Amino acid sequence: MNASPSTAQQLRVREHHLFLVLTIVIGIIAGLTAVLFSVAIAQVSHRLFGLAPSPARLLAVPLLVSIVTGILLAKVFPDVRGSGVPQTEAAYHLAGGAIPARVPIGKFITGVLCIGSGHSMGREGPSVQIGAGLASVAGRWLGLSPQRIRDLVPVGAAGALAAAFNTPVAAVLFALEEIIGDMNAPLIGSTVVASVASVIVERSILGNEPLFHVPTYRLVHPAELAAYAVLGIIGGIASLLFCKGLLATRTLFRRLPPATQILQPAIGGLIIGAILLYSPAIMGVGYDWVDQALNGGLLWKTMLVLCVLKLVATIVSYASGNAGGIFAPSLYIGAMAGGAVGVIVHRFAPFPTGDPGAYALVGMGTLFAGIIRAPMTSVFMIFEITQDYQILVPLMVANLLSFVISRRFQPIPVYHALLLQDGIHLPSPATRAPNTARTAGHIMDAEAELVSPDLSIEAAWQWAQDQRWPTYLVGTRDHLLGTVTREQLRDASALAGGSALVSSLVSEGIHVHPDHPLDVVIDRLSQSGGVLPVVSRADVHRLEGMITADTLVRRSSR
Amino acid sequence: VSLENVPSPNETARTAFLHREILQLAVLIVAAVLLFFGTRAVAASNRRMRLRDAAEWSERGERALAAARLDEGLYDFRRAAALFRQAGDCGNALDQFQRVLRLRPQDAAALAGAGACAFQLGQYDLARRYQTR
Repeated sequence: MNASPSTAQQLRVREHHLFLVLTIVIGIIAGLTAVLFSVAIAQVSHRLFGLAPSPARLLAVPLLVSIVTGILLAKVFPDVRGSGVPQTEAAYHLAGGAIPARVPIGKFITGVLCIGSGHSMGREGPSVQIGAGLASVAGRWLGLSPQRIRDLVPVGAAGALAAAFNTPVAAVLFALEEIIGDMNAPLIGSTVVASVASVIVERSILGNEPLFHVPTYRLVHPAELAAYAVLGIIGGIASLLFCKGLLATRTLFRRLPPATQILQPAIGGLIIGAILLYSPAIMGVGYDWVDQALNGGLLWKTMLVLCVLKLVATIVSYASGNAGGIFAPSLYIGAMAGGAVGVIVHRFAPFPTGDPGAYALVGMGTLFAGIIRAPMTSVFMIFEITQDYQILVPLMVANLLSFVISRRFQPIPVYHALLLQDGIHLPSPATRAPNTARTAGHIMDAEAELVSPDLSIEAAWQWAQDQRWPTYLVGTRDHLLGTVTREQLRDASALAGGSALVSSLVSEGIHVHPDHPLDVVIDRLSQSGGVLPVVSRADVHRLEGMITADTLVRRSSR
Repeated sequence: VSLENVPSPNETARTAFLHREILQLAVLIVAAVLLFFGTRAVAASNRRMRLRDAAEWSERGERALAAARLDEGLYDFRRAAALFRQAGDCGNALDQFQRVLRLRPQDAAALAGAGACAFQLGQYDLARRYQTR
């Protein structure tokens, strides 16, 4: 048959329409699944704990359920631990949007079990991963082009988040700001369509009630802005404590022997059970308690204690490798911190102030901005879940302060830092190359000379004397260990006689990824010892090539 | 069979491919509809569960008051009110807020909640009285 250009064009147009319909359907499916997920958690939690659980039950339920989820997470669904947002970002940026079907299924099951059994974690991060996963699976099943499959990931994520929080605007912003990492992304149309479709369906089931009911709070006196600024600073510090604590505790758990991995969620379950015995208020998602803080129903001492306990409990639950997010806990910690500050300000400030509930509301935003590090999303998220427009100005001030403090002392956002611990280096907006730029991958030498880590220092020193460069890569192509310098080899061979192995000297040096633009390469090359390894983003130990000053001059002038 | 003998897909094949896509899309839509009704059923049972819980909190509150444990009673009524409101039962939520107000007539949160519930029920005079108290 003869294919005229007009037929081909028609087909393209049809694929466009198909994608639009698919966007709506994906948005709806992601949204419904998010609703189902949250309802399932409530049901499981109710079945496991009842209305007023006994101490024995509080202690036993998290432990016993975590033993089951530990086995599931280690043997059946190995890649569904934690929040799901960083994993979704990694899938979007590094795997072309491919998410295996077992991820959304596994996340649903383990998420319901972990959060339902009292672990102090949120349901929104998992919802995002489930939504994005279902979108990716549907895209591949339909045989869409790789670019379209990748595009569906943020679409599914936006649909899921819109329904999980009843926040259509914040969901779109989150998909652009966090998942794609570009507020000007051309995908804004698709994410808006998915978010709207999802929210309409969600509201037809749950009604258009905001997540939290709050009285209308407003700025009572201009001087109050100073109090909100202080709250922003406190929020920033609390965010830092959370991020640093989480990363350090996770490192601790990861250092345990690999054989214990199957039991680690249960260790977390035991500790959570003990905390629940002291205060059941930190259980699960905990929005009931946030609601009370927002409505001024808690004493400041209670709020302070809950703030600290929730922080510790969430770190334990997450670091021990359970499945659940950090959205809800950050809102909880923020509401309690803000509420406590609010009571104190209300009592001692020399000017008229708003209710403590207003501070709890702004506090939620500060922790969200400081931990999740998506400043636009955090402002709109708080505005949408409370539907209180009046508080927007203090919210913006406090969020910005918290964000700046958190960024100053924890330059890598926690989601990316968690991926770093797993050896995955996401591209950040600062180091992402424009499409036209030449990158490290273009100019690198694919042939790299490596020193075997099993070589003795003496032998390596002999070899090094004939080399041009003063720094050497140690390891194999599939497992680069790091670098060693000529001085290190000389000193060590003189000192110990040189029978020890080279691997004992290796330090994890500076590196670039193939997609880094040349100015990043030049910058890093000047900080390195003269040899810059180029490593994969998906696995930082896989060597793709190397760059020296020589290659830089030779190759970039071509 | 050598791969070189396989003809490259022409426009007819692509049309057939897109027809298959439309069929698959229909399957997805059916799945979405089924998911909708399933989720709605589970959400409805969740709502009934919340209403039962709310009623139980309210009873607990009454028992606490009968035993002269005021703070506990207040706490229980607040929980009941919040649960009724989440389940969309404004009438009962208003009733629980009023119980709190009988114990603490100037409770800001209960006044705001009662006002909002009365407003939703269309009792605007009552709503105004709560909101301006």
